[in-house]
Amino acid sequence: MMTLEDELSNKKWPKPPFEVRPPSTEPPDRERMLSEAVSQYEGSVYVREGRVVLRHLGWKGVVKPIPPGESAITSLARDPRGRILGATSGSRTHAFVYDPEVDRVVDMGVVDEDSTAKNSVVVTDKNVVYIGTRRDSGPGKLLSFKTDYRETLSWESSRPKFKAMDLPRPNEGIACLSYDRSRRCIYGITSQSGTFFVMDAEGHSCKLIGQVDELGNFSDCLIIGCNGRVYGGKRWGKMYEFNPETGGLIQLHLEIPSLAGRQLYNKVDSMAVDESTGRIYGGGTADGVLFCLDPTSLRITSLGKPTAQARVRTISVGKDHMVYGISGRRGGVAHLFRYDPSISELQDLGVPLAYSDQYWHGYEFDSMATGKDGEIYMGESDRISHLFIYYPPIR
Amino acid sequence: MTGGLGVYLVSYDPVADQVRYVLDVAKALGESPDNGHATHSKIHYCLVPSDDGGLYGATHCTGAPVGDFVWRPWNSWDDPIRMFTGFHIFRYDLATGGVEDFGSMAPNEGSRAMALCENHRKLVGITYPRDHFYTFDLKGNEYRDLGRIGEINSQSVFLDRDENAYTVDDYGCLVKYDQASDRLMHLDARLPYAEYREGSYNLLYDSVPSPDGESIYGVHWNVDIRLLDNRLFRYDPFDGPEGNIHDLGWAYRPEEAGPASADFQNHHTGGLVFGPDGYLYFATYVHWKEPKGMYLIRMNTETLERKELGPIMKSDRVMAEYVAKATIDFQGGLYFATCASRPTGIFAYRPGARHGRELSFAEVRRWG
Repeated sequence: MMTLEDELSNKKWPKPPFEVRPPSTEPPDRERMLSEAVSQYEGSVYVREGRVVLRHLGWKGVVKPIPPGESAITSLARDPRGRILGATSGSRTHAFVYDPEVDRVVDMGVVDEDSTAKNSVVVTDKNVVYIGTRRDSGPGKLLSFKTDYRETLSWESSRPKFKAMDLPRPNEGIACLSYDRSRRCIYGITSQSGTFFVMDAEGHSCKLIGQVDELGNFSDCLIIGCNGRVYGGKRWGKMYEFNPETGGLIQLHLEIPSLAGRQLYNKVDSMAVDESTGRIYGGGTADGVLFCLDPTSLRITSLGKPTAQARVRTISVGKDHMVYGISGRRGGVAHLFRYDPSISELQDLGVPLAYSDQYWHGYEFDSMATGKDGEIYMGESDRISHLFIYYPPIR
Repeated sequence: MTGGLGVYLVSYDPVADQVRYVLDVAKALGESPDNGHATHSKIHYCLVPSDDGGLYGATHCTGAPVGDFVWRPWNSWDDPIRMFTGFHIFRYDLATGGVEDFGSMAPNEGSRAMALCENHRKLVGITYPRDHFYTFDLKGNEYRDLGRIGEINSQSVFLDRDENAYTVDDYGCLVKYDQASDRLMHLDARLPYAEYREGSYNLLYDSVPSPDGESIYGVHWNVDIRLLDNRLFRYDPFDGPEGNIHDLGWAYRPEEAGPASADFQNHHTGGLVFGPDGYLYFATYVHWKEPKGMYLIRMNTETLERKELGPIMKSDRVMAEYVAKATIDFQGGLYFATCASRPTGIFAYRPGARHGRELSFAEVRRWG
C-alpha cells in the first residue's frame, strides 16, 4: 500500500509562478509583472476615492465607548445645526450625538434594553429629537428630548431628559420614523402590525392610518417625497404611498427591481431622496438592485447592482448629488458604492477601511446621513461599532 | 506565491529521530487544494492534543487557489469559486490515524488561534479576517459565533484553571470568555506597553501556563509592526476580580543591544515553553550581532534573569528566522517550530532535566 510519504514524493506539485532566484540578481520580467500585480491587488478592494475615518462612540482616550453588543448604529439623523444624532441596537439602545465642531461622539444614555432602533431617530426644526425602539415581542418605546446643544460640551451634563411618550399602539414598538418639515409632523410604522401613523410633532396627537401590508411583510423605512407624499415598501417588492392631503394609503402599481424570479424575496431595503430633482433612490433586499423612483411619473428605473451581494442596507444622497449606499448582506463584507446620476454611472467604491482614529475594517452598516458639509456618516452595526465618516473627493 | 497548496500534518518521533508526514489534511476534509477555492493551507495555532487520544485541529486560509499567485479574503468574499469555504474543525486519532471531520464552521473565515477546554469538551478560538470569537461544543457538535472582538487577530487564546478563555482586543485589554455564563466579557486588565505609546496594536502573540497552573506568561506580537515594543508579562487570573497583569519588561534586550526603544528592527519573540527544570524558555530575534536570527533564551521567573543560550540554527549554520510556537515532550525535550524560511523546521533542545513522571496531554499543551 502506498504511504502518504510515497504519494508526496511522486506528487506533481503546482508550478510556482516564477523560479526562486538569488536575491541579488535582477528579477526577470515575469516576476516583476507579477509582483506589481500583487501590490495593486492588495489595496484594490478598499475605498480609495475620498477618505474614510471613524470615531469611537465616546470621547477617545477619555471615556469608555458604548460597550460591545450594544453599539450597533441603526439610526442616524442630522439636526438643524449639523450635528449627527444616532441610536444603537442590541442588549441596550443608546442615544448619542456627534458634533463635527468638537469632533467627538457623546453617549447621551440608555433609552431601552434588548431593543432595536432602526431608522427611528428624527430631529424637528424646533430641536426636538424623537427616538423609537422595538423589541422582539411586546412594546418598544417612543421618547423625545429637546436638545440644547450642550450635550457635547465637556463641562456640561451630557444627559438630556428623555420624555416617554404614548406609543401609537400600546403593545407594539416603532419600526421607523420620518419627519416632515413642511407639515411639522412625524410619520411612522408600528413594529408588529405595520400600522402607518401620523403624529403631530408639537401637540403629539397621533392618528392611526392603517396597515401597510395585509400579510405584515413591510419595510422599516419611509421617505418623504418633494411632493409631500410618503413612500414605503411592502411584500414582494411592492410600494405604497401616503397622501397627507387625503389622509389615505394607496397601494402603488409598482415593483422594485430584482433578478428574474426573485420578486417574492424582495422588499425595499432603504431609500433616500434627492431634494434637487425630487427623485427617490432605493435598493432591494433580495439582490441589492438599486432603483430610482420618479414620484411624478410613478415610474421605477433599475440602476443595476453595485456588487455581487444582496441588499442595499442604507443609502443617502450627498451634497454633490451623488447617491451613496452600502451593499452587502449581514455577516458579509460591506461595500460602499456611488451612483452618479449625471453620467448614469454606478460604481463600487470598495470596502470601508479606516486608519484614523483606529485601523478598522467596516463590515456591517445599517444607517447613513449626509453632513452639512457633504460628508457622509455611516453607522457601523457590528458587535463593536463606530461612526464612520466618508469624505467624498473634491471635484 | 504558489496557488493550490494544502496543509499536511507532520509528526516527529524523538526515539527514532524521524519526521513523518502523516495526513494530507485538506484532502482528508474533502477540501482538495485543486478545487479552485482558496486552499485550506495552514493550521494556524490551532492544533491541540487531548486526553481522549486525539489531536484537535482547525484549518486556516490565505493560500491562493490553484493557478493564482495571490489571495486575500476581502477580494474574494463573494466569489463562489475563489472564496475560502470556511475552516473545518477535526479530530485526528493519534492511535489509528483516523480523522473525524466536524465540518465547515464559518464560510469565508479561517481559524487563527484555538484552545481546548478539556473538561468542558469545548473548543474556543478566533476567526480570520473578521476577528470573531467562537466556541465549538464537542458534545453537541454546535458552533457558536459570539461576535467581533477587534480588528487584528490576537495570536493566542489561553485558559485559566477553570477553563475560562482569554485573548485581547486591539488595545491589549483582555477579552474573557466566561464558561459559567457562556458569554464574552471585556476587562480593563491590559497587557503592558511602553509609556510613550497610547496602547493600540497591543496584541498577544504567545502564552504558556506556569508549572503550578496559577499564572500565564505571555508576550506581545510585534513582527508585523516593528515599531512596537516587545514585552513579556505574567497574568494572574485569580488575583482580584479581573486578575492582575505584571509587566516583565522587554522579552530580551541585553545592554549590548542598546536602549530599549522601538525601532524598525525585528523584535519577534515566540516559542514560550516551561522546561522540566522550571525555567521559562523562549526564542527571540537578535538583530544587534552576528549571526542575526532567532536565539534561545532561558528565564528564571523568580529573579527575571535571562540567559542567552545561543543561536537557533541548523547544522549547515542557517539561522531560524521566525520561531512561532514551542512544546515539550514526555521526556522533557523542548521543540521549537520555525517558519518564514524554506524549508520550515522543528528544532529540539534538551535542557538535561526530566519530569519525574509522564505528562498528561493537558500538561503538554492546552492551546495552539
